[in-house]
Amino acid sequence: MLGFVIRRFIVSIIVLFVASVLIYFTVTSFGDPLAELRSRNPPVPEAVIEQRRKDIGLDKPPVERYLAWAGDVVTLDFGDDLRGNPVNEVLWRRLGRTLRMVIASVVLSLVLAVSVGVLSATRQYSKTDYFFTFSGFLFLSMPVFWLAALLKEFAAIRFNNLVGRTIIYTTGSESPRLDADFWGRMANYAGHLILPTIALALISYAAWSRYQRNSMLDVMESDYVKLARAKGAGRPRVVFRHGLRNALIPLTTIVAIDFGAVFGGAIITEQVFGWSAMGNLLIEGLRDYDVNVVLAWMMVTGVIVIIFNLIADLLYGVLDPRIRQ
Amino acid sequence: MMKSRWLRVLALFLGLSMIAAACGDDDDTAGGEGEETEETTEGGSDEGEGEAAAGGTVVFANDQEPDGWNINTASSNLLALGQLTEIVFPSAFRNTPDFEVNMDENLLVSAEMTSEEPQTIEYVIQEDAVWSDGTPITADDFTMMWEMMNGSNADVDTATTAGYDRVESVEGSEDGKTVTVTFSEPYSEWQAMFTNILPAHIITELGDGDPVVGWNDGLDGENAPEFSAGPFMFEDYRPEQSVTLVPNPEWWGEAPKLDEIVIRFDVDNAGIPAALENGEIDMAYPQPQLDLVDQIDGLEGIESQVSFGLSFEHIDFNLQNSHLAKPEVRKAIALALDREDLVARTVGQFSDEAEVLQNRIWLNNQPQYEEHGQDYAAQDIEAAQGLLEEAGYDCSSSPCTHPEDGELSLRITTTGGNQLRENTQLVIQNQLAEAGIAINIDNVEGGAAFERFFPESNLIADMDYDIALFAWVGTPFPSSNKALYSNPDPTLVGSNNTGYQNPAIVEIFDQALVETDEDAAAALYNQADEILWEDMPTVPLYQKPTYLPYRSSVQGVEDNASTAGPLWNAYEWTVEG
Amino acid sequence: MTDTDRPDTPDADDTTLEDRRPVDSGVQPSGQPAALADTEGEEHHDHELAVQTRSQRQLIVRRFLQHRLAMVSLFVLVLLIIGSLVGGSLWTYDYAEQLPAFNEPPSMSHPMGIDDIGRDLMAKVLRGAQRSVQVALLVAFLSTTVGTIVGAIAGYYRGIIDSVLMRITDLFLVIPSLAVFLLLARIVGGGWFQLALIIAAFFWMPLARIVRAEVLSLREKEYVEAARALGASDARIIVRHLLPNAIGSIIVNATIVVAVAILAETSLSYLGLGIAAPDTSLGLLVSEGQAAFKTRPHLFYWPGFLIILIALTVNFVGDGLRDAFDPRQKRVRQ
Repeated sequence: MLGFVIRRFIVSIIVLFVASVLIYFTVTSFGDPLAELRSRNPPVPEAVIEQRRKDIGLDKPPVERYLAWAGDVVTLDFGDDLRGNPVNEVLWRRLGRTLRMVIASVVLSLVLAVSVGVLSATRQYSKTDYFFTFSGFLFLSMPVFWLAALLKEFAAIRFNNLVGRTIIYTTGSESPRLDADFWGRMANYAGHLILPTIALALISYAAWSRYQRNSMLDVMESDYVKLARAKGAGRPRVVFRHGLRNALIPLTTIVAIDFGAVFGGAIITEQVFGWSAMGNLLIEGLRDYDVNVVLAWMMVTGVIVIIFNLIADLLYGVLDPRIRQ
Repeated sequence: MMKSRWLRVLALFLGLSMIAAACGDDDDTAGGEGEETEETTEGGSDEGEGEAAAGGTVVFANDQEPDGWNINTASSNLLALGQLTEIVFPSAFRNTPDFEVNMDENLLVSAEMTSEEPQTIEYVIQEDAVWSDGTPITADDFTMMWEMMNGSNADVDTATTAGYDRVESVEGSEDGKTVTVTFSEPYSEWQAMFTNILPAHIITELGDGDPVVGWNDGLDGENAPEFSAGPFMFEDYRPEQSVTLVPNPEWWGEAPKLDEIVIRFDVDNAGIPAALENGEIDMAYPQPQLDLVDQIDGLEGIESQVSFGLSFEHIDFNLQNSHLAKPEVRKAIALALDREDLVARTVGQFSDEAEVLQNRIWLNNQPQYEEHGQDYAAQDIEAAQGLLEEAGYDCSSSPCTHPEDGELSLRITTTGGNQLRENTQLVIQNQLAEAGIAINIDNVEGGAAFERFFPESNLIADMDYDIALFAWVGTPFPSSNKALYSNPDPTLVGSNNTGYQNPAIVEIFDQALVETDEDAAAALYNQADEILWEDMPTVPLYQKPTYLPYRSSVQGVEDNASTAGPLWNAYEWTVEG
Repeated sequence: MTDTDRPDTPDADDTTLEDRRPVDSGVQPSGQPAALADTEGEEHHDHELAVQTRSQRQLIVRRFLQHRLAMVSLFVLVLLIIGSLVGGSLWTYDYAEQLPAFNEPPSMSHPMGIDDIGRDLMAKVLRGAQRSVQVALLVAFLSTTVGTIVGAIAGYYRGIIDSVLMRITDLFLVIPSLAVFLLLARIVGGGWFQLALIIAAFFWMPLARIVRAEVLSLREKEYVEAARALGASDARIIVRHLLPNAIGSIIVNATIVVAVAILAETSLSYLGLGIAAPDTSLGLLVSEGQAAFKTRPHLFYWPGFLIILIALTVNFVGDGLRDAFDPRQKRVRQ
């Protein structure tokens, strides 16, 4: 098992590097980052543009630049962006913010998914089941920014007006010039996290809840549950003690796989809520044809996706319910 | 059993969020004013009639974060930064909201041309003028600026060399408080020089003794300037989040009344209305767009100002295109356009004062403005088609066709994603279709559009567009226009993205550059514009409006649509409770 | 778990969890995670003889017809699709026509008003719906076709071909698709056809894996051997004997792709990289309508409702189909 996982990991990393080659050459051949300088008024002197070209390294052939980049990446140095700032600094800072949002929404999604899934399974085909199915699908069918606009207005602004204080924020990952003690900061982060987390979680929980529902149904059908019930255990006990634990297992693997999807959803969510995080970084990097930024982004998210997929594989292999009992 | 599970999940979440939070905020720099600021707060306690309270915070949303703080370098020369440095760095002359250029009386006692031949300007710096570390502002600072920006040192990253490359020498006297600038050739726009002056001694220090290094890299990225010679100074730069302007204690002029202005980068344009309503920002300066303006104007407690800035939209013709090489075609296009209707459907929606722009060099609200495009003011489809037929086109069917050059079908290209521009294109497409000119909209995202107009090779032959739609930022000093309409090397683009060549224009521009009489110079520029109307390499459309929404509790706000920006008079602002 | 939950793959090393999830779509660009996956390994591979297949089909259809929600959704969906594709041409105004009046509120002749350069908004919404539906349908068709072909070939021939194809699949899976959309969309431009191609390029992988898993598990069965012995060509075997068993997954996956494609196009338009002017799409309308949220709310709500309605009905239909293909459909009495 472990051997298999390690092999898969290595293969995935190779695939990632192949992807990086493709992306590198696509970005460099389709955009001149310095074109904008010429549209300035008063015009930038030619000599300065040429010098910038040399400073950034654009005068060298793409192959040479790629190899230099690859060499640096192995030591985890993602180079400098177009303005000369080290990409690493910017990247880790922004990654931290994105992770805040992603983790919070995954947790909320899980809570929702499990609750809804279990309720739906235990009341299969009842009105509750249909209601949850419907609302889950409803959120799943909404564009994130559409939902976000509604949340900003109805969940944030009206709520704040009602309470008389600004508790829920609509923009940014924290208040400007935040200078408070640990709990103050946590509270501030939380206030800024509420809307994006709800938006992301509402959209993703539905799929997982269906999954949870189905696996709960399977579990409740299973022999050992029937055995427990035959032995006289009460239904809630059976459901939660035996059923839930086992039903949760496949869900964890699904979550691991979908982590990448949540990451992707965060791109839009960050944009909508004005967070200076990974999503924004990618969009800016693409807009400016900033190759180092775009590639660093791809590598980091690629590795995260790979790692989570492997965790899923591991979890599945290790926690195969046929082996457990 | 269940409880412990949930407890574990909760603990995990808190733990993870703590880790993530710690990762996300490494640079929690000290020096802030204490608690988080959300809304504007009232500081002082006295509120006599007509007397505004002192103190207060204003949060200004600006999603263009500076990527470097030396605004005199090409890499950091952003309009958004200029709006901040306006109240931090000293400048010899400043732009008023009326686009007048006035000497800055805080910095200078006088700035006069003491001799015309050779052109010599003498600046007398105020005795009180000091940098925030106490060092007086002297000729040394002027000298450094000249040495960096005159183009003599290829290693220096400079935004422009205009004017400085004509300066023979910069000398200081009277303890450096008098600066004598001698020119080798006359330069009429000397008032544009010496803006955003930097302290020579600090720049040298930042470069460990080498001013070039200090100039290029000393104010790079996260190194926000810690010095100032204006009413405010920078403080607490949090990359990607905010930077704050606080009163400069060494400022010798009218002291600001606010406690701080927080410039906030993490607001998306579409999120401005909600952020304003929720009290998370107090001011913004977004690109106006009809719905955005309506929505913000509908908010309680928010006021706004619309003014017309120095930017103007225009369409440019690629003279390499076989159709557009014919002047009749270009004039036909100008005639087929109904620019009044265009203005009504685009910028006219936010301001009744929007007008068609009839001059490429001077803008509607500049005193030197003259209308030269009256012949093309109204839409005249018949005349347009007449011209086309003169040029050999057959307009019996639409689009018109030429025996050699084929169908009169042209692409119009601009930076995608800008609704106002796209609307402009749609209206143009519609109008030109009436004259039998087919237009295809061919937009590209952001920087890629500029590449079509200004190819990397800098060769005219590599330009890839037919009609371009974008904006030039004007200035009260129009000499830079010469580069837009000419290039000493006819195969190169430079800034001349139409490929237009006319020696008469070059002569006029050169004359105007050395003409020291302002009125005479203005007349020369108008003459140049008249020639441009005859040849029609471009068609000016309209001046772009600026939109400044702000919380009504902030008093004293006045938009300055020139490069100075809305913060230009922030030292006068107060916050009502 | 009572069922066999992983396909009978000869070299298990090469399968991963994704292979064992029959009806999901992995990483989604718009951030909606795999819609409504089934429990793993719901492959019911025991219908080998042609005779059973037919009655199976009848069963499936009957089960679907019994699923009320799915039936209603199907009805609504068909109406929506027809309305979108045809509505624009039936309406009095053309979406590109610029009328003399501009910026008008809703009225009798213009139920949604007129936009700021004089176009009838009802016409724009209809046009937007048409474009969005076209893109979604094309994406579903392309990605299903490509996914099926790639999966079938990989599963049938195995060996090198399989490895290469699976590595290519991995390549597409590893790079977050939204990121590559952003990159490609800038290069390719805003035509709806090119957009559909790009989006489809990132939706074919899950189906490829599913089909591959199915084919892998079935190719060893006796009836395939028999067919081969009788001289049937590879293509015939694949199409006639192997693929029909995967039809369930294919169809369900295709419907899901329709829903996700609409949302993907919406996300891209929000970022300015979807359908571009002068054309319009529901996604573009909604992102333009954001600013009008309070002033002209109908500009924001109506396109949004349409998007939701289409995605919703498609999802319900897909759910119904999945239930119909699931043999363990029985009520769990408590």
